[in-house]
Amino acid sequence: MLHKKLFSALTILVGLAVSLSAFAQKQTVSGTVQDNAGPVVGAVVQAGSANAVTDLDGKFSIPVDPQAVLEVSCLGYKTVQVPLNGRRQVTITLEEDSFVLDDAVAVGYGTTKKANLTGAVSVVKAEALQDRSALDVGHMLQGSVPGLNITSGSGRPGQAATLNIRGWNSINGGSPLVLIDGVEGDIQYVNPADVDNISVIKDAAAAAIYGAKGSAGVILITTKMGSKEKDGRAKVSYSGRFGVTAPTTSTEYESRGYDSVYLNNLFWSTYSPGTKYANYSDADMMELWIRRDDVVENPARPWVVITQENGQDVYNYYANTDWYHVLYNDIKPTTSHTVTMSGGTGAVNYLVSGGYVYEQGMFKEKPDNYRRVNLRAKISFDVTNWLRIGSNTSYFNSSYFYPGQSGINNNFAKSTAHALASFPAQNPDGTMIYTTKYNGYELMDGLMMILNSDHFNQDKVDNLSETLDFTLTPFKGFTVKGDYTYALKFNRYMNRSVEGEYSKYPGVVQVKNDKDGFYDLLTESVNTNVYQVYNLYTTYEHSWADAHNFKMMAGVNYETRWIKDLGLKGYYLYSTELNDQDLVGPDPNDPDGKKRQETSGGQNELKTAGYFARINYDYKGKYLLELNGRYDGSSRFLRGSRWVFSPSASIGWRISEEPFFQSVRGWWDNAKIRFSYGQLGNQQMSSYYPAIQTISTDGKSSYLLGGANLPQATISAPVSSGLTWERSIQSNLGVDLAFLGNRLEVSAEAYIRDTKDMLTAGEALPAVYGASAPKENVADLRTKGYEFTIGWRDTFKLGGKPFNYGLSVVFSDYVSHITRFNNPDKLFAKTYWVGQKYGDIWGYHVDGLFLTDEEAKSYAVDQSKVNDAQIFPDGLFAGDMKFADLDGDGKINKGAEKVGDSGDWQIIGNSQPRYNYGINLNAGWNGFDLAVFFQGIGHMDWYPGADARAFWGPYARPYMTFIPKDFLNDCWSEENPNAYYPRPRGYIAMNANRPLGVVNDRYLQNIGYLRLKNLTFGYTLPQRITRKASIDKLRIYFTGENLFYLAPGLHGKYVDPEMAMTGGNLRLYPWQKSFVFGIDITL
Amino acid sequence: MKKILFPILIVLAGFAFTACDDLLDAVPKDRLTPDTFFKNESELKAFAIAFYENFPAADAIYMGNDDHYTQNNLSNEEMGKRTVPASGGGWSWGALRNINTLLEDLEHCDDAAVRTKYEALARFFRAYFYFEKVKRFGDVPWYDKTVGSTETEQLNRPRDSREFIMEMMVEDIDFAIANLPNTKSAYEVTKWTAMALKSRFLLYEGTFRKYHAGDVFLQTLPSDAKPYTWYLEESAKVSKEFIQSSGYGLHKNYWELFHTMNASDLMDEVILARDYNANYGVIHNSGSAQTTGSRGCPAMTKKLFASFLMADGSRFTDQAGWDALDFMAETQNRDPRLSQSIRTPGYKRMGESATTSPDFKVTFSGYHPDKYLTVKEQDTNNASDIDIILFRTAEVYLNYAEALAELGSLQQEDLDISLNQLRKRVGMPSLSLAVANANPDPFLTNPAYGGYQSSVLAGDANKGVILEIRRERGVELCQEGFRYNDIMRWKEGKMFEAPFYGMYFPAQGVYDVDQNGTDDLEIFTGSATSKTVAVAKELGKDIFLKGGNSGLIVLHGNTARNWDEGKDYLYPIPTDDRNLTGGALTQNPGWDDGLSF
Repeated sequence: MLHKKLFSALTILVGLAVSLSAFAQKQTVSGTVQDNAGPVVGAVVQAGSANAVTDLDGKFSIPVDPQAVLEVSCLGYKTVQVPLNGRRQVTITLEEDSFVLDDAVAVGYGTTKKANLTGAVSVVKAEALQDRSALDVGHMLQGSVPGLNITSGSGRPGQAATLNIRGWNSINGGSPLVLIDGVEGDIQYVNPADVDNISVIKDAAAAAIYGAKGSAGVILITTKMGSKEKDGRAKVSYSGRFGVTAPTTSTEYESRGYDSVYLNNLFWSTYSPGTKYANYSDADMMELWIRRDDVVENPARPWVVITQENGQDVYNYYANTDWYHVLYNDIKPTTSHTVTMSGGTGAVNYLVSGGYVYEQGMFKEKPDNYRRVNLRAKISFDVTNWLRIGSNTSYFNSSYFYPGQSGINNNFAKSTAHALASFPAQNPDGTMIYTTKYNGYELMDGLMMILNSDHFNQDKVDNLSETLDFTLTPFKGFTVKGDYTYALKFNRYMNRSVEGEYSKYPGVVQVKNDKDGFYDLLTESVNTNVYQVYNLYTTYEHSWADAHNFKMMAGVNYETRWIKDLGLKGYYLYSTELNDQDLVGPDPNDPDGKKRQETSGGQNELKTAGYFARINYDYKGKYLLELNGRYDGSSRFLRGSRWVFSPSASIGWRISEEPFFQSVRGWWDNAKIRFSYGQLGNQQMSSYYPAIQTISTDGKSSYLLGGANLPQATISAPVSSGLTWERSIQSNLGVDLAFLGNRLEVSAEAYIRDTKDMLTAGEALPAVYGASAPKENVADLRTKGYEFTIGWRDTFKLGGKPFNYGLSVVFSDYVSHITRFNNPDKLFAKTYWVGQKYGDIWGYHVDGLFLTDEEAKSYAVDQSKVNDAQIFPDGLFAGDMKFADLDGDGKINKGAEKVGDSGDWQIIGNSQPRYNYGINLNAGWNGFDLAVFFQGIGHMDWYPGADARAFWGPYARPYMTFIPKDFLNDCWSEENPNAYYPRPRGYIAMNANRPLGVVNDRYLQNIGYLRLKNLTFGYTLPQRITRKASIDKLRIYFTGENLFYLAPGLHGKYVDPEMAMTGGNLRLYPWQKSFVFGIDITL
Repeated sequence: MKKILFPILIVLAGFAFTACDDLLDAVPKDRLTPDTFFKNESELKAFAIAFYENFPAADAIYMGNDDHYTQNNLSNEEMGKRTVPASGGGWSWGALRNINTLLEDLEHCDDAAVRTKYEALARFFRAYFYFEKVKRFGDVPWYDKTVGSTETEQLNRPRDSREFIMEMMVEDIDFAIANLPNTKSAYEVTKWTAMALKSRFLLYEGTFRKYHAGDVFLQTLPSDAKPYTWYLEESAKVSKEFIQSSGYGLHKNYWELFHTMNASDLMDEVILARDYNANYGVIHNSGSAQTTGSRGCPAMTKKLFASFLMADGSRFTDQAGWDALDFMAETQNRDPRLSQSIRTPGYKRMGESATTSPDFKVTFSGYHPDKYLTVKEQDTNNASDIDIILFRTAEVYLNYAEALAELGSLQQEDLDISLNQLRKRVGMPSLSLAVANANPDPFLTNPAYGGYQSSVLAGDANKGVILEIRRERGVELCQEGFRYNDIMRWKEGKMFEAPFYGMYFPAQGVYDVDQNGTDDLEIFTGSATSKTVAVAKELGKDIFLKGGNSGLIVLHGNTARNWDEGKDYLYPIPTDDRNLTGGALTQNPGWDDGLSF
């Protein structure tokens, strides 16, 4: 190839220079580098610090120890390592690395060459994951595959990632099918170190072989396997990491007692005139003022003063408590270790690996922590030359321990309220504070009392999966494969709550045991999930006339899943530290002293079957055809509505294989165009029996009838009996291009996906129906999108050493519209209508804040009611929001509440993430490696939800524990008329019928962001040093995850844009970044 | 090649076709289906227990928001600020679907006696359900079976006349009375509850028809509608039957009714109560609401306070200068129920020996409510578990007296078996029919204090005694969830426009209102002076006095109130439902929802 020759001419000169400078005492080894077609010019031959470059004849010579190992690399070829073993003359044959064109890509029930792919499949290699310090594979994939969207529900250690392929699949949601070595599994359960490659299947053609399970895309994870490369020697590698995590957002909150009381009272009294939230008198405020700058307690000005009121000792609190750091640590340790041993001898290949992860969470008193153990053992035997038997065993165990009440996020919710900085963390005698003399509210709803007692929770998952498989190869081109998997999962949960102890008056300890969260109670539950899979399929391959390549595959799949729940509650245990149902003691409220124990159950079952077939044909590798079909049945539907057929076809044309393309082959290496069309069923829904109306009897009535929680039977909502599959019809057009010796690669896709017959509340019904409208298959949705990847990589010499670098960009975008929905008048009441763009945010236009009371009073528009609600009951004042009367009717409302007649209500944004992107930069030189990975979203609108306290602060509720430092600078006042927030007033962001709760464009946030997702810098020690210790490779590195973000459209520095993406009230475990040092050792 | 391929494909195909549907059937194993449920009493009970949720939540009872009990934020009803909602707003029908489901599936039960009992229970709740709907919306569609999602005609039914609804309710409640158990129960609906309900809703309908005669709200009544007198007569009839045959009477101690943790200890008077028990997490908030100060500052108004008689039966408001007395003076020698309903000087909290003052942080009129306030341990958020009374005999007594008085057929002996029993319990002198009618209380009709203004009442020969019965109802049943609906049926909504008052203060200064030695309130201008007072309020900002610098506390300051006689007695129908039925569901009079139909 022309460019290769030009390039090599240059490198020969450099190579010669290097050769001349070689040390004489070493022996000179010479040789030839070639490929199938002849000599390879410009290949870099390296051994320790010595290196050489091949000449025009592919020849080189290099001064080295004859026991050294030569590393030969050249762009466009796979790098090889050649032990000299004393030889002085070698011939090295390089295998073309046509930039993965010949790589095997995992597709359903088999593999195919990348060159022959006709569907939309993206591949992620192990290398892309190996340095990431995110805990699980899901989070590692964020931003690395165009069209694969990864989000997270919270920032807690061990939080599972949420996966989505190509946007909104259905009104009913749906997540991609994840297959781990061919068996459906949870991406969180995979040890990242075990992953060999991941195929992300995005279109219907490629997914059709999975039929109804693949309608939301498929992620195929293939784990590593031992190979016989090292002559029977085991390859052992160890990877260890040690680091810390820290919040991604600011944790600087108001910790001055005076300011905390002042602010909350300010917001309180403007809402409820004449009253205060905390009854600090003027004299009390003076006491707070003189202590305002005491970061720690000054003995001359104690933070707790005991006085007498009405003959009783009372606590007066004048503290400056930084509650955030009383509750939480900013810096927490994290560590992980992985050991892998693999190899192959004779008829056996094997891989054994183990991993351990520990991450400590934020809580200070009893730190929450996440532990994970992964074990995997894979082995395969060639029993005969026509039979291979394999076994793949994996075990996953995770444990999340956390303090407080059930549900870690509940702690964050509770912590936001009623702890003034003026209250100390505890009383001087060490007792906890629950209520104070200042008001009737409970400090953090009792959270401090809970955190400082024996409350705890433990969430444990055990997942054991074993697959046995066989491969029959009776003659060349024909194989039969079968496998059986048994996967057993236990989710075990334990919660212990105990009575609370607190002190409101000095010396008087009170006990709280009268409500949920303060019972002496041990709750345990076990969820058992048994999953079995049977696959049997056969493949036949045949080529003839050197032109026709034919491959067909057909098989069956049958799966069952059985889920059983068991719950136990025992009250009044003999111990607060030991936790077992056997320790349940007498119920003090029972006249006979009987034990109080409660149980609960529940079970579900799902069975699916599928028959599938695929035919591939290509003519001389130029014209490609693939046909897929699958016939699926599910126990979710009744007989008669149960089965669905998912057919698909795809074609490809490798233009670069055509004779006429030869003229540009010198700089244009690959050109392929492909198109696919297919249909998939979708059965994803939360209910296991959606077509059956049931009566559940597990409930307990909160109406006692003089008894103890009497049983209650509840009937489920009425169902439609004809319920059947949703379908997804997709077409995908793709091109793959490569230029300049495969240095530049471009791959692009455009697609249209029609989701048909979505299950939804068929038609809104009048309320007299008395139940939510039954779901029916009555809505359609169309998603259009595109995505592309551009990659550049090259090598040049720097300081006599090859410098490798690469840059890749992935990008994707999509938009969804409703195309069928029974709502001809487009009434908002019916939620959806034809033509509706998914994610549109409707709201009012706010025309700034009133500057003066006069302006507010004389505002010509009747703003007393917005949205039909009395949101300014006391009238308008300076600093209030001014809603714009767009339709000029003198009122702020939604008109007739329908599209086209919506008054002042208009589309102000869209809540869907637009322009998802990832940018990857990497470079390697002389043992150093650097990778920088940016990830982000171009645009996404978010209206902070009602009561999203982290955003609204005391506007949500005038009793906030965490108020951003210098919050008043952001609040309107006569001196600060251009402030962001309106005039200080509590509760106005508490619900949708309050001024800030009404969606409007002034407070709409663009949470588009750019995040430095990962930065890794490593150094691999030269082999000549490590070899002395029989170490193949020793690398040390730093890696950081989520290191910083830019979100210019998001107000404030207390809400992470990805937290905002959860869309809720933000009372969540904060997002974290990590700084980790690691070491990789391979023996 | 083909020789091998085909047999294998045949094997696969064989597996395929034998598998099919048999391998894919799955039915729930932890739940039953409607076809297999409702077989016996325990299953029926488990299903029917949800019906009880139709009864009001505790806070709807202990937290009044009307002219007798108020909160620092007036309700939208009082301010005239109600709007037409898009959905909800009381227009919810899930409870009725459940009731009708049980009635339809009763046939699965083989035991005829059990079937009858649960039919009676379901029909009691259907009557209760419709009573709530009629009070709120007037005419409503009647459904006695569950409606299918495709039964468009049924779903889009127009409203039935309240005359028809009442007819159906009477059928239901009569069936319930005839077939519910007559064994008393503190917590379960019995024959006696059904009678008490019948007494209540017929009195409501009778008085509503009487006082609203000719109103827009009754325009849709059919021409052959029964006269209001029929409803009052039927109400009086069932009340009298209850009084004579139920065996219920009055509990000896009025205070204990609202300070006894378990209503099962009050079964001499209480017909039905809602059971609360913290051990099972079934709790309410009466303690916190009446001690916290941020939950509305509930307060008794001067209007109700002043209507309590003197202990000798004379009228408090007949005294000259009654409205300029200090708290100490105005609480002396009053109907004992006053000091059993609010904190008066010397008040002691349940279970305590020390006295406690009214707390101006918590109550903004000074008249600090005490019903359902228990021990201090239950003062925190959601920590109260005292049972809440839903039906008690005293109400039936008052219904009886009122129905007869409104009919004009009340006799002294009727008063003696009903209202005068209430007086007797607390040691108050009896009410004399003749005396009452001879000298109607001018205070109760004084517009300056929001007195009764109805012209129907003004022209009634029994005006005097009707006023006394209303007084008794206010005093006896205060803070028990009746007042707003009483005002609706008496057509006295304009009362909400009159100012609400609190305690009297002659000037700014520091006050120990109950004279127990600790200061309770400072009223100041500029800045507060007292270091010891619990609450300081700035005049004109935190507190308003009727005379500017002195006088009764004016509750709610100048908050505008507007009662629309042509609209506010009924609630609006949500616009979504009007839209969905294409206007078959008409809007209530006076409500503008912007829809053209």
